[in-house]
Amino acid sequence: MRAAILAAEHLDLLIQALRDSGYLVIGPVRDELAIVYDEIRSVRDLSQGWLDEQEKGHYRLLPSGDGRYFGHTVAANAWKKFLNPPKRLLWRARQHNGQLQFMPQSEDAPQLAFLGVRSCELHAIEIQDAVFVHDQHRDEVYSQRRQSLFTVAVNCTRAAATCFCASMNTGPEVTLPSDLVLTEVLDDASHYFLVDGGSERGRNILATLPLRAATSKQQALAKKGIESARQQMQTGPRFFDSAGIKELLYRNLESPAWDEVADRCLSCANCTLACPTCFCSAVEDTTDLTGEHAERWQQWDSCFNGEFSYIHGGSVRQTTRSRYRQWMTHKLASWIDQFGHSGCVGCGRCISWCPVGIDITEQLQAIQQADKP
Amino acid sequence: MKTVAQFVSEHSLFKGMKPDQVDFIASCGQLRRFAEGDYLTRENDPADFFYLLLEGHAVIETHQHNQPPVPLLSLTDNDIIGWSWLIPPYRYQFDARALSRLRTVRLDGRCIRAKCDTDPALGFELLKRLAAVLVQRIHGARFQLLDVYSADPAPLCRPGESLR
Amino acid sequence: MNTPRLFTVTDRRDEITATVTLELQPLDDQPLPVARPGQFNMLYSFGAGEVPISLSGSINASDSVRSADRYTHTLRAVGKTTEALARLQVGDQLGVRGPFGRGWPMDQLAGKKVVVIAGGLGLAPLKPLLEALLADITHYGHVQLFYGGKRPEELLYPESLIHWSEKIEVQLSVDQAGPDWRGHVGVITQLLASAEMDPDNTLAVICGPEIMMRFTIQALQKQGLPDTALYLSMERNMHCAVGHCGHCQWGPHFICKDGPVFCYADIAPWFFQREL
Repeated sequence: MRAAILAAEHLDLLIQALRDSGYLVIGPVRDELAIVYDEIRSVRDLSQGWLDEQEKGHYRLLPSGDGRYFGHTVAANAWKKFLNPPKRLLWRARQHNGQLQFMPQSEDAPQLAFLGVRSCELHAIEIQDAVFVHDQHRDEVYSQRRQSLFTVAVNCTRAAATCFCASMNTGPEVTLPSDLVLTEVLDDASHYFLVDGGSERGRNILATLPLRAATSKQQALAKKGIESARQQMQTGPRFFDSAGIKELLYRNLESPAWDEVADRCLSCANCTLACPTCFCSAVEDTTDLTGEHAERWQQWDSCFNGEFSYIHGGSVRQTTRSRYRQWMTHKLASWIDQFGHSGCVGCGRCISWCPVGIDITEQLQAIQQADKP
Repeated sequence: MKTVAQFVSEHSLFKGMKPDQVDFIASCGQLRRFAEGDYLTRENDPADFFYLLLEGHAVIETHQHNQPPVPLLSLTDNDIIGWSWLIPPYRYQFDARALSRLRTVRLDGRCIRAKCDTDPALGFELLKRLAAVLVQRIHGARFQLLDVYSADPAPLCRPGESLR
Repeated sequence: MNTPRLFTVTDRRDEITATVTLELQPLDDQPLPVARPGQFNMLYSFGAGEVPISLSGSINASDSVRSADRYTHTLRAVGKTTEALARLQVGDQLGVRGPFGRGWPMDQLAGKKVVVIAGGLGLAPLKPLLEALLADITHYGHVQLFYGGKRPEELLYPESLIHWSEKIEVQLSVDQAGPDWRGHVGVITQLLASAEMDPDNTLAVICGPEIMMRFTIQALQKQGLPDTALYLSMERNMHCAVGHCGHCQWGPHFICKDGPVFCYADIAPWFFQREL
């Protein structure tokens, strides 16, 4: 199917079509002072007319002054919480008169539609798929949610200062499969979306919408928007050549750059929670006061937590230096050995949400500098 | 029947050493046998000799009042016993006892000391070889001191629940 | 993460200090997955938690073959969960997930001389390997066991050690001993340094405290064994055992699914790295 045009005033029809198909639609909404991904019931819930200003340890919302729905970049939180819930009950157990019984916790996976997934975020979801779906063992909760997931991707036409997908080769243009792909264009008075159907079910949804064929000018304008986002990144300070990072980090496990960053890092775990690919979790076994009922809960964990690496006698990673090194080296280097691709998609969340403004791209450059003979 | 020089040249301490050096060292030595329970060295005795262990088992040990001896290190073929002959006041620091019938070459430390004083090349060669043995013994002693096996959990068992 | 499967304790044996061996059988009638030597299970004690414990061999020294319908685990009470597991009695119930991980390279041991090196409780994960080797000794040829511990009474499986020493060379080393001890006093590396080895035709399997494994690898390298001939079992924090929770990451490796047994050649760049 050729690219089509959906008028901006018809965006709600897309949302309703998804809802009518049984999807719980999630998209960018304004929650107080940030844009977050949350449930969308109609187009009015979207964070229309707001821009994000992101920098090291800095996030502000500003009115965009125009009517764009997706003029902002990635939301504060990643989509991962909808596919891999931050806290979930795995099973319950009961022991009575010496008889033990396990009761698995099953769920009817919600049928989710993500509206406004950016290219870097599609990559992030694919990266988590590699961990939870395609590896030796499957995570059933994630897999079921993932299987029914409908994605409406949006091409970025603007980059935040923290964005560096152009360096990680994960954007700004959507290249991974998505049920639908939108590019928002605001050209003088005309406001519309260039729409592509990437799957059968995507095209089925499109068939219910009032579309018209895109002119070559409209397609060119959409392309231009994406190119301007790419330009913003390529001329910004966070543009770098990501080739050879694995080797760079592997040979610099003792770089003085780790000491410098460890002096600033609070080991607060914000970066791992904000990161769309960080997947670590912990389990907690609990009992009630009667001592007859027990539960196992799984919740997100972070390699910055002291007990994360605990073995008999103490934690293996005692220092912040070793924890930051673990996080960054895993993200950018050992992930490649583990799963065949980097664990970083360049979304910049770890930069914005670090309370002391640690910037992974700066750290990389610091290691590169120290690496030079 | 092997000569003392053959035994010396085949012992790991002297393997690869120049024949004239081996011959000299052998000239300071004689074959000695020990029965089980015999002492090769006694603490505080003059340390005139050291031993190349050719065959058998021996133990370095010490003692406390009215207590059975405490074994410190087991030694067997190709080990050496004694280096107090090299360092003043030339007295043994520990007991060395045969745990089985032993065949040894007993080397006269006084003889070798005197020769080394006038032949620094031999002295340095010998010291390098003894130092390697000493380093191995120190490494072992430190390893023992680490007490790595005390209360180690079964590998893979992760008893970290008190933290979770 | 799967729900544990319900098991019961069918036999129990007190070993050395605070250490027990439990024999476990499922309470359903489903077949038991085959556990290969070197693999591990996650054992759950009601209300106390779950820990990874290696499979160990048969509970009785005289059993030549492990029963196919039981799992056997040796564990030491060192924390809340292991203490609860160590208190389990015959007939008590518990949860089991597994078996997980890559075990010892049994296929590659065939036709080779095998040097088994254990330290402390590290003998437990090597016991099923030794039993497999001894059950088919002509297939494996020459087997040596070097086992180091703190004191003679802290050596695991004394009956098995006697039993094995009738068939293979067994050398025991302790850090400290009384005057009655006839074995070696010193360190295991000393025994390895003086052992006769055929470096071109030998595989070494190693399990013990990490520091002991570091020294052991150096001693074996001095003997001329190539890194490709050294296998060892690693340990890190573990929650899920299936590569999802991230805790057991060690450089590019997940101990739970890529290990716990690794060929040293594959992990050499990481083995001496601190706080990894």
